[in-house]
Amino acid sequence: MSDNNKVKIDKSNSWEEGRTKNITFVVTEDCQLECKYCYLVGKNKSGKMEFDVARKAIDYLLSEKEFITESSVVLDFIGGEPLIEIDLIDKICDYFKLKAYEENHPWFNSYRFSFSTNGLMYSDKRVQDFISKNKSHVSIQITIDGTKIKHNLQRVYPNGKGSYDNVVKNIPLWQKQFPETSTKVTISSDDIPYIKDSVLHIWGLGIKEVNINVVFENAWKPGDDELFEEQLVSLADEIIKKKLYENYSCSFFNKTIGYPYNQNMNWCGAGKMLAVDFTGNFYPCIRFVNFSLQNREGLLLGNYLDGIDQNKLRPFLTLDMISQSESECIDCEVATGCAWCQGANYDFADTETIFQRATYICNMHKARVRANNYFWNKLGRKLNKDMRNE
Amino acid sequence: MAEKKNKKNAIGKVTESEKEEIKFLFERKNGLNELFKSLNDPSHPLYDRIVQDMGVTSTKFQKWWDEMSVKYKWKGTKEHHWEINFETCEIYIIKDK
Amino acid sequence: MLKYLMIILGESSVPFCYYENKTGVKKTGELISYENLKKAVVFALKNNLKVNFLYPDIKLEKKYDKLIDEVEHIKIIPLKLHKTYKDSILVIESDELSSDSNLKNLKDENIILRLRYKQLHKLHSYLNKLIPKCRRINLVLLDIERYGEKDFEEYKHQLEKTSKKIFKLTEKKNLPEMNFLTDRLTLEQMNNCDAGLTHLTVAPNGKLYLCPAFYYNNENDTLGEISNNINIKNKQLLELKYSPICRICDAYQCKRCVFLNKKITSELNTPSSQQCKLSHIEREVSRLFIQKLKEKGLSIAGFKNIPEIDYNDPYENAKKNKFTISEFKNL
Repeated sequence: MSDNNKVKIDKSNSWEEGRTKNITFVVTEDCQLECKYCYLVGKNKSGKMEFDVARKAIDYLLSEKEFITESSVVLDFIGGEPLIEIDLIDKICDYFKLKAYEENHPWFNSYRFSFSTNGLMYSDKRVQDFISKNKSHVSIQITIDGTKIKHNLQRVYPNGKGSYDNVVKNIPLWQKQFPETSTKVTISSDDIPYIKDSVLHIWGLGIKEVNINVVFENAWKPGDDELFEEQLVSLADEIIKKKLYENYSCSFFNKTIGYPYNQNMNWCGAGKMLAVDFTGNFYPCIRFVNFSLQNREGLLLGNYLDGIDQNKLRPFLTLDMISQSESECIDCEVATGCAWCQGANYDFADTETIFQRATYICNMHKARVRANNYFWNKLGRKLNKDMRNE
Repeated sequence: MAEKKNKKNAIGKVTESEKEEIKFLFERKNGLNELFKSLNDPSHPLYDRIVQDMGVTSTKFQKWWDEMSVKYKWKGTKEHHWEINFETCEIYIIKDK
Repeated sequence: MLKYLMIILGESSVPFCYYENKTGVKKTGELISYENLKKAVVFALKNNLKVNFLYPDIKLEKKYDKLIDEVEHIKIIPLKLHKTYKDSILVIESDELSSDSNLKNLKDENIILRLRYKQLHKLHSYLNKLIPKCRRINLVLLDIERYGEKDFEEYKHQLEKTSKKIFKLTEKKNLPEMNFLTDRLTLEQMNNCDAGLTHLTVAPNGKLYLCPAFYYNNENDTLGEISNNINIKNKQLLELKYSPICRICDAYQCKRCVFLNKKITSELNTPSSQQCKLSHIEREVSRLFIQKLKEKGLSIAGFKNIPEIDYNDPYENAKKNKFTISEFKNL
């Protein structure tokens, strides 16, 4: 009998889970790449945050103690590509540290600076100096989208050339500095044939945690779900055969998915987090910023001068599963783990509302459930244990 | 005494509230050190306060380890140091590099 | 299920709820065309709908009056037309109460009082003037998004003063109905506006809207032409069970105005904190009123006890997401 405690396939690291306020600063709309699946549909070079906007936003957030009560904060820097504005970010972070200390704010004792980056500038001296200065508070995720072929399918320069080689050369340095690295992988229709090889490839690079998700858009073709299921089953076989479940994780495999609902929880944290765009406007999350939306104007919660309009937050903080779901979804036998994005819901809804759940991923979710069942049942037989009811 | 995991050498465990104490001090100590790096200006109005705070926090930090090691009778040598896992409250003994 | 239709007879028709009509129209009144009015009346007749006509302050041609009389209806009129149309619902702007002469000849009326924010502190004195002349008063508080903590205290104070005053009327058994005080005493479930569910509105352009407020706010926000297949997208968001805050609330007298919801919170199904607090002030004053009746050994048929609660906004409870799937299915 194997050591049953050594199953890490569904483990993920999350700092201060449930106790943090996530604040996303959109420091720039610019990016060196033009990833084909990027939800930032309106990227351009002109949108850039001024330091004064960030400073006043931080002043407001540190002062708003009645409605912002979380004991920890994550300042998340995003773009476009955030590292393009590393000097600005450095200045913002220095200001935050000093101001939080000066105000004796609890966040001084519990904060992180987080980055989702394409990795191209990781070894830049200014980036390295920033990391060195803030080492114990920095969390950086570089996006490696899988094998070179898969990565270069989507993550391309404006001239169409793939970015894989220029990203992967920075991985060793990243891993040396941040041993518990993870990456985010996005799957759209064209990426399906590469899923298994991509996950294995990323693990092979030493990145042990792969957060992999299908896109929420209406991007799926007939037959995609079957191909997807095949890929996941093949990956499951490989994981079990080589005992990769002992040291690696992949978010596709999770014991909690594929059951009927027994709770009425919202999936998405929009509204509990906050996004600040380069003009100082506040949004429920990055996905509600103007340039993230295809069909709607951005949904504002306020701005750095006037603060957050608490009335605009009320729908987000009271939103639950049943108020936004069709009865087919509420009654679905394999509902749990079926994800949604509030911003995508808003973008694709028939009217201007967050209370209409987009269900383009339905068949993909069901395929995932079947593959997931296969994995846990097969692993359970191997380990002589009922893995799903542990 | 950074946070690391080495299950093979777990020598004890502290309570949840004891963990929260050291976690707070750990975060504050790191925060002050990095604030100091950012500030780098002895003429700044907060400089003296930060320096003093760093001293106070470091003292408290060391005091926690001293008191816990006595309370729980942890093994220790000059070639080793202790580390805590903030998720499990376990204490490990790690050989110095 | 639709029960009635609102028909806005002119651009300057009296606003009777939480919205303003169009001011400064070139042709005063700008009436609905006879053809559009006929289409709306025929629709009402074919679908067993009663009609609420919203009147502008201008005289209608006889053919309009004749057409209006073909359908069972209520007239909602500005105060100025009080003598022209009897047995109507009168809309009174709080500005009009500065002079008592405006209220001359009023007797046993059903009125809507639209109270401006700046006149909140005069509410009790206005009600004093109106109560003897009315069998029912519907209070509409305008500009609620401006209300802050001091305004809530003032509103409560004004209602408490009124409550004390009408207590004596209770003893004499000639108490008028008041949406903000007596309605809650007789309700056992929500009694909301239900725009889009029990009624729709026909605007002067002949098109359908959820209610007049949506028309006046944005003419493009239409449900389309009058037809046998009216499609309201995401109609479920008008229903109580799809409102996380309202479905756990028992301030049954609240109108749950979806226009105000959309305007202030951006969602049809989510009320503002001001709306919730004002409704709970009314609930509390009603609760204390019936408590006092009991203490005096008085009772009025149909008046029910209201339980004491420790919150003035169900939002905090709604945030906890404790409403279960089975509770939802049983609603």
